[in-house]
Amino acid sequence: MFFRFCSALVLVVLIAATGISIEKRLLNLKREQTLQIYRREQLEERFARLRLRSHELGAPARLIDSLAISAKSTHPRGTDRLSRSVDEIANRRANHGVVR
Amino acid sequence: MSVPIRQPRLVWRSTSVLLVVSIAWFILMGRLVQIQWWQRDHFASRATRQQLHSEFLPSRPGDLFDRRGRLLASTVAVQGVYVDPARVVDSYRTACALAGATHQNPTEVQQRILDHREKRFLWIKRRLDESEVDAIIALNLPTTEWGFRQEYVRVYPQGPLAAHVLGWRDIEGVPHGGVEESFQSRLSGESGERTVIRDARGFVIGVKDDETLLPRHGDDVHLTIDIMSQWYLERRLDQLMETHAPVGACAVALDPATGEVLAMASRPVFDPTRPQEAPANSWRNLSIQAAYEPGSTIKPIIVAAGLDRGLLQMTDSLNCERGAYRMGPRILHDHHRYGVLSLKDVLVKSSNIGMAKIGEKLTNPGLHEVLTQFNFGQKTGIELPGELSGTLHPLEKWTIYSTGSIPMGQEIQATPLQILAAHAALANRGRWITPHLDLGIGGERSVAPNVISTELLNDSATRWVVEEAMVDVVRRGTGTKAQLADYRLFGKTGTSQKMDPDGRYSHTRHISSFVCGAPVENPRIAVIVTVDEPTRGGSDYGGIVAAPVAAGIVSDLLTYMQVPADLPSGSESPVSTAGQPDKTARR
Repeated sequence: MFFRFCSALVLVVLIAATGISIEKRLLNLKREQTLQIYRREQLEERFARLRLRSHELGAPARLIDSLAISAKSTHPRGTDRLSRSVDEIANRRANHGVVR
Repeated sequence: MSVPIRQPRLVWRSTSVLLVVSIAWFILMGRLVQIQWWQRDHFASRATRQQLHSEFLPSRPGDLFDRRGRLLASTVAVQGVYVDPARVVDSYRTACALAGATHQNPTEVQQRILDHREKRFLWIKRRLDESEVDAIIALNLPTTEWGFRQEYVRVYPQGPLAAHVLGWRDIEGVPHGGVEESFQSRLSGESGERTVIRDARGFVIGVKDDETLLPRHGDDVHLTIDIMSQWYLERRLDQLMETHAPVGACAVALDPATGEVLAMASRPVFDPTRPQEAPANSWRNLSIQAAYEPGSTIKPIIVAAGLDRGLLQMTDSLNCERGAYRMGPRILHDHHRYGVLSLKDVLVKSSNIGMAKIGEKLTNPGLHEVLTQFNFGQKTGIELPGELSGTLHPLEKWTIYSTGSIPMGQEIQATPLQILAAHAALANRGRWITPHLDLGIGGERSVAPNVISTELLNDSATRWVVEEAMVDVVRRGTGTKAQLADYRLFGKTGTSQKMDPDGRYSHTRHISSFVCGAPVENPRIAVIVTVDEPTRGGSDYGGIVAAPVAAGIVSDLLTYMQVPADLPSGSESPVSTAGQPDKTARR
C-alpha cells in the first residue's frame, strides 16, 4: 500500500516537475523570441539611421563642391565634357557666391 | 487516578478564542464568497484593467528612392513621453519632474495635467532627443503614471530638393501633397497592437501573444526622379529666380520615349523638414497646379496635326498679310510685318496670322479634336495630388474668334506638364505617353497601371515639325538664346499675356515659357521652363527669360547622362548664357 502510494506520489511529482520545466522552457523561448524581435527592431532602426546619414552626407547639394574641386585638380584643363561641366559649375558657384 | 477538573475561567477563555477564530474564518469566507462569486465580474474586470495594457505599435512608412536607389525620404523612430492624468497622484511633483527633464514650463505642464484629469493619455512632449529620454528615465517616476511611446518621424536627406514632388508629413505622420500623399496606401502599412501584462508596480511581466498584432511596415516606392538631374534643374531655376525675380517659376524634365519624369521643381519652394517656416505661396507645385494660356508653345502641335490630317503640306506657304489680318470682326496682328512665309517659317518666326490661317484650314471642330487628342482639358494622370485639368471649352462655346485664338495658344489653359507631355509626344514620333513618377514596385521598371500610351500622329509629320521647324526655331528663330555648343536642340518659345482684373489681356504681365528637347534624332530629354511675371532682366519674352534656362538644363542633364554630343565642338552658335538680353529673340 505504502509502495503504491509513494509511486503515485512520485509520478504526480514527476509529471508536475516536467510540466514546470516545459513551462519554464517555453517562457525562456518566448523571452528569447521577444528579445530577438527587439534586437531586430533595434538593428532595423540603426540601419535606417546609418543609411539616412550616409545619404545625407552623399547628397548632391553637399557633395558637389568637393566633387568640383577634385575634378579641377584631376583634370586641370577640362579634358572631358563631364569635368568641363563640373568646372563650369564650380566657376559659376564661385562667381555667384551660391551657398546651399 | 484523578481527572483534572477544568476550571470555568479556562473554559470560557478557550470558548472565546474559538468563537473569535470562527467568526474571523466566517468573515474571511464571506469575503471570499463576495469576491469570488457575488462581485466576481467586477473584480475580474478591475484586475484585467490593472494588469493588461494595450500598446499601439505604429507601422514604419516605406522609404522613397530615386531611380538610382538614392534615398529621398526615410523614417526614424523617436520617443515621446506621455502621462496618464487619471493616475497621476501628485500632479505638481510629476509636472515639475517631467518639465525639468524636457525643458518646459512646470506650471503649464501641471495645468495641462489638471485640465485633462478625466483623460487616460496626455502627451507631455513628442520627438524627444536622447538626452531628454535619459533624463526622464533617471527621474524614477511611478511607471503607472507615465510612459514612452514610440513614433516615427519622416526625414528628407536631400533637404528641399524635389520638395513639391515628395510632399511632406506632419507630426501625426499624415501626408500632405506630393507622392507622400498619392502613394499613401503603399507607403503607410498597417499599425499593430500588443497587450502586455503588468505587475502591481506597473512593470511589464509578460506579453499576451495571442492578442498581439504586429505592424505591417509600409512598402518602399521607387520614383522615376533622378536626384542629380533634379539638382541640376533646381540650380538653374534658382539662378533664374535670382536674375529675373518672377512671381513664380517651374521646370520639368522628362524622357519622351517613356514618359518618366526625371526632374520637376517649382519656385518658391518649401523645406519638407521645416514646413512651419514655408511661405504661404510655396505650397503650390506650379508644374501641375497652375494653368495658363500656353501661347506660342501650342503652335507646333497644331501644325503637326494639320500635316497629319493632310490639310497642310511641308512645302506650303502662307501669306501673313504684312502684319494685319481681318478675321471676321477682329483684326489680328503680328509682331513683325511678315509677307509670305513658308510653313516652317510660320513656326520659326511664330507668326500669329500664319497660325490663324492654319486654324481656318483645320476649322473649329478639327482644332478641338486635336487638342482633345493631346489631352488638353484633362489631367495628364501623373501620380501627384491636386493636378489641374486646365481649360478646354466645349466646342459649342467656341466662336469665330476661336479659329484664330486657339492656334496661337489663347482661349485655352494648360499646365506646364500638359504642354510638355504634348511636346514629348511630338518628340516621340507622335506617341503620347502619360508622364509618370512611379518606377514600379522595387524599382523594377514595370509599367505603372496608370500609364497610357497612344499613337496620335504619324511619324513623318512629327519628325518634320521637330527635326526641321523646331530645330530652326532655336537655330534662327525666336529661340536663339537656347543654342548649345555640343547639342542641337529643338524648341519653341511662348509668351502669353496674363489677365487683368477687368478681364482684359495685360500688356505688362506675362508668362514666359520655353519647351525644348535634345538630341534631335533620338530625343532623350524634353524640358519645359515656365516663368510667371518676370520683373527683372529687361525682357519678359520666353525666348529671353526661359529659353537659356531650359537649354542650360538640357545641357546639364545630357552631359550628366553621358549622351554623346551631336555637334562637333565649336561648330555652331555660342553656348547659351542665362539671363543675357538678346534683341534678336522674340516670342
